[in-house]
Amino acid sequence: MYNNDERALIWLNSFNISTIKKNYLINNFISPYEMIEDFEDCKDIICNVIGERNYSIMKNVCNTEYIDKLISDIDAKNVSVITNCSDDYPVLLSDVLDDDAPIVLYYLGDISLIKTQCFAVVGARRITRYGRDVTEKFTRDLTTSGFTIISGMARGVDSVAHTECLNFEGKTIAVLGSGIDVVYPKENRDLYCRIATTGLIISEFPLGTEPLPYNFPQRNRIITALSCGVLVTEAGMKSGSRISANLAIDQGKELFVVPGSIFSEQCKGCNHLIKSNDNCVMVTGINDILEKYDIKKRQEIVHAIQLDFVEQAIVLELEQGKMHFEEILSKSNLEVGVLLTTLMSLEVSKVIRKIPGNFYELQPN
Amino acid sequence: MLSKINSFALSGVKGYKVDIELDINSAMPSYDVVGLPDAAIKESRERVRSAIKNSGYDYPIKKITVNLAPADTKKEGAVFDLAIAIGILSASEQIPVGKYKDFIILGELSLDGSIRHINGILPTIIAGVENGYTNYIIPAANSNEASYIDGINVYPASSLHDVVEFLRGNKLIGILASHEYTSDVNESRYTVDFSEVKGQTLAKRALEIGAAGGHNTIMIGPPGSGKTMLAKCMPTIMPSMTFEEAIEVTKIHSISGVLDSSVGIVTTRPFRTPHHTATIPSLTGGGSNCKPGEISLAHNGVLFLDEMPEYSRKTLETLRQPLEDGIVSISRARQTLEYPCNFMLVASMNPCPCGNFGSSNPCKCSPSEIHKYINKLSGPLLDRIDLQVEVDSIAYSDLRSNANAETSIDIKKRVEIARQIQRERLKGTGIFTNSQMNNRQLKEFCVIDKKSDNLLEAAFNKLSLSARASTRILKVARTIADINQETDIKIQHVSEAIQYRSLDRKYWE
Repeated sequence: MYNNDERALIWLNSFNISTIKKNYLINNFISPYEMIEDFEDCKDIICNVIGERNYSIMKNVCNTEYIDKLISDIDAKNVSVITNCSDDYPVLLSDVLDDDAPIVLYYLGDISLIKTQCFAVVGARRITRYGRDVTEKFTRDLTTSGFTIISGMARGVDSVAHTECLNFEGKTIAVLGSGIDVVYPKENRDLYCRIATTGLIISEFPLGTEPLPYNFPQRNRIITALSCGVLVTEAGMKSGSRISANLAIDQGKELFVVPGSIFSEQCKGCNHLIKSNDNCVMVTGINDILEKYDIKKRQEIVHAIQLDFVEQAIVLELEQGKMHFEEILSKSNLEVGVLLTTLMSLEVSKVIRKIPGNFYELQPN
Repeated sequence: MLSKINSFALSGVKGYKVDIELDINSAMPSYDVVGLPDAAIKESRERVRSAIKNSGYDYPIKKITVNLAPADTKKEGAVFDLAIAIGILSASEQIPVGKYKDFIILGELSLDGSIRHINGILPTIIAGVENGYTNYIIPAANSNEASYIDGINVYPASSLHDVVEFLRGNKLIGILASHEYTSDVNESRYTVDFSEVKGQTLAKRALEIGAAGGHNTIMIGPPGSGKTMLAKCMPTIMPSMTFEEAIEVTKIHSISGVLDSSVGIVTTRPFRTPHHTATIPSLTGGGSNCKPGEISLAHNGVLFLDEMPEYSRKTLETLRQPLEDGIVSISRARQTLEYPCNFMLVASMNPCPCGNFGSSNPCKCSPSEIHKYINKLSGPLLDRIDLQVEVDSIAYSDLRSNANAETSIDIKKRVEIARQIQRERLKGTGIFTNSQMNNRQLKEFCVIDKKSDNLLEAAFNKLSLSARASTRILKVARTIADINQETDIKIQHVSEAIQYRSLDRKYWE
C-alpha cells in the first residue's frame, strides 16, 4: 500500500512533464500530498511552473478515483514502485542527479541490487563481431569480479552485456527507455523475462510509455548515475553511448573506453572519446578497470589444451587472422572429411570458431 | 445406324475407358455431343467434318448424335476427334462394322485430315493395358512415347485416310517396334559439369551427400557466388533413373504436354526451376482441370528454388506436406486427384537482404534485418532441409586451381554406390534413401559410438545448435558413411555432418 505522499507522486509522474519541473513543483509544497490538496487553491504557483495547459489537464484528473486506477494498473502488472520520499530510494540518484532525479521509479525484480556496486556496460545498437567479442569479454570479467552489470536492454551492446552477465550467473540491471511493461526491442522478450526473475528492471516512465527517441538519452542519466564506472565497448560517431560517456564525466564517474580499429566505422566513436577526452581511460583488459577500484588484479587464466600436430599447425596459421576453409584446405593438404573433423574438434574445444562465409578464426578470450 | 468406338480419357495420371457411341438419324441435319464435353470436344464438329471431306469421304447430311459414356464425367481435349470421325464413317457404312471394335482409337484431327500429336499418350495406354486392351491406333507423332510399352500392338497413323483404308483392309499400318529402355548414360546431354565449378569444395561435397542420400539442401551465399550454377550441376550427379521411375516421370510430363516427343520418354532426372513469383497452384498443381504443378514435374528429380526467401511464405509452406509424403493431393469442387511428387529440394538464398553478409564486401544490413530475412524460412520447413551449406564468394573459389576438380561422372559413381548400399540396408522398409528414415529406423541404422555421442553433445552445448538438428545430423552422417563405404558411423562422419547445419548455428546475427 502506498501512503498519501507516494500516491501523489505516482499521480504527478503519470504526466508528461520534465523531471526538473516535477521536482521544482514538489519543492514548492510541504509535501507532495499537500500539493494535491491545494491543487486548485495554488493555481498561480503551479501554472508558473507547468503552464496553463498542463494545469487544466491535470486538474481534470486530480481526484482519488484516478489515482486508485493508476495504482490498480500498477498492481495488476505486478510492478513495484519506489518514490523519492521512501527510505529505499537510492541515495546515488538524488545525490548525483539532484533536481533531475526521477520522483518515481517503477521496477520488476530485486530492488536491493541497486545498492550493490554497479558497473555500466554500454555501446552502440549496431555492433560488429569485434564489438560483440569485446562486450562479452569485459562483461564476463566484470561479472566474475563481483560487479552488477547495468545497461539499457537496447539492441547490440546492451543486450549482449545483459545476456553474457546472466550466462555467468551474475546480477544485472536493465534501465528502460519505455514504460516498464513495454518490451523494446521486441526480440528481447526472453531477455526481459530473465532479467525480471534474476535481476532488476527499472524505468522512470509511467506504464505504457512508448519507446520514444527522446526517452533514451534521459534514461542514460540513470544508468550512469547508478554505476560506479561506465565502460563503452563499441560506438560509432553517431551512437547514443557518446551521450552516456559525456554524462558519466559530468557526473564524476570513471569512464572506460575500449579502442577499436581505425578503419572501422563502428569504432570511430570510441576512438574519438579516447583521443579527445582527458578523463577517459583506455582499457585493453579487465585489470585496467580493476586497478581503479583497488580490486586485486586477476591472473589471466590460460586453458592449456593438448593439441596434436595438425591442430597446432592450423592454430598457428590462424594466428595471422581469419582464414577461409579453402585456404586452410590447400595449405594443410588434408582430405575434406579429415579437415572438417579437425576443425570441428578445435571448435568444440573452443580454440577456434567458425564465422559466416566459411571462415575460421581463433576464439578470442 | 449406330456405332461404338473404344477410347480412353485421363483423370490425373490414371486413365478410364470412354465409349464413344454414335447414332445417325434421318432428321434435320445437326451435330450434338453429349456426355459433359468441354468446348474443345464440341468444336470437334468442324474438325471432323472438314477432315472427312478433305480425306475424300462423305460427311452424312443427317442428325448426328455423339455420346461420351460414362456420361457423368467431364471430358476434355481433342483426343476423341479421330474416334468420332471413325464412328461417323462406320455409322454411315463407309467402314465395315466390327473391325474397329478391337482398337482403342486416340487422336486429334487437323482440317486436312492429318492426325495431330496429343498429350498423355503414355498414361492412357498404360491404363488401356491394365484394362486388357492390346490394340491401339494413335497419332504417329506420339509413337516414340508409346514404344516403351511391351506386349501390345500399336498402330501409329498419320492421317484419317490411312486409318480408314487400314480398317477397310486396303492398306497396312506397321506395328510399332518396341524400344528397350536404357537409362541414358550419354553425359554430353548435360551442358554443365561439376569440374567446371572452381573451388566450392564444401558446397560440392554437400550436394554429393544430398544426391546420395536424397537430402534436401539449401545453399547460402552472396550474389554471384555460383549457387545457381552448382544447382544446375545437380542432375549430372543424380543416380540414373530406373525404367519404373522413368515411366512415372514420363506420365506426368506427358499429361502436362512438356514431353519431348522426339524422344518419347524422360531419361534424365527432371530439374525444375519455378520463378519466385510462382503461385500456389502452379507449384502444387491445380487449376480448373487439376494440372500437375512444378513439384510433380520435378518428381524423381530436383526442384530448385532460387532465392528461397523471396517466395511468398504461403507458397513455401504448401511444400511442407508434399516434402513429407512424396505425394500431393489436389482437391477441387469437381474432382480430387493425386500426383506423385517425390523430389529433392535444392534451394539457394542470400545470407541477408543486401547479400554481402559474411563476404569480403561490406554488408549494409542491420542485425535485425538479417534476423528477419533468415526467419522468412519457417522452422517446420527448415526441419525438412537436412543440408545447409555456405557457398563461398568468388574470390575464394578462384583459390583452388581447376586441375584436380572432379568430374560429375566420378561423383556420380560414388553416389550410385551409396544409393546401392542404402537400398540393401533399407530393403523391406518401403523406403530407398537415408533421408526418408523415420525415428525407429534412425535408432536401428544410425548407431553412433560413445566418442561421437560426446562430440554431438559438446557441439550442442558449445556451438549453440538448435535441438531439432540432431536427427538431421545423424541421417547425414549415415549418408557420409555410406559414401565412404563404411558400415559404422564414425566420429569424422558426425563432425562433418555438423558442419552442414549453417542456419541452425546462431552466428547469423
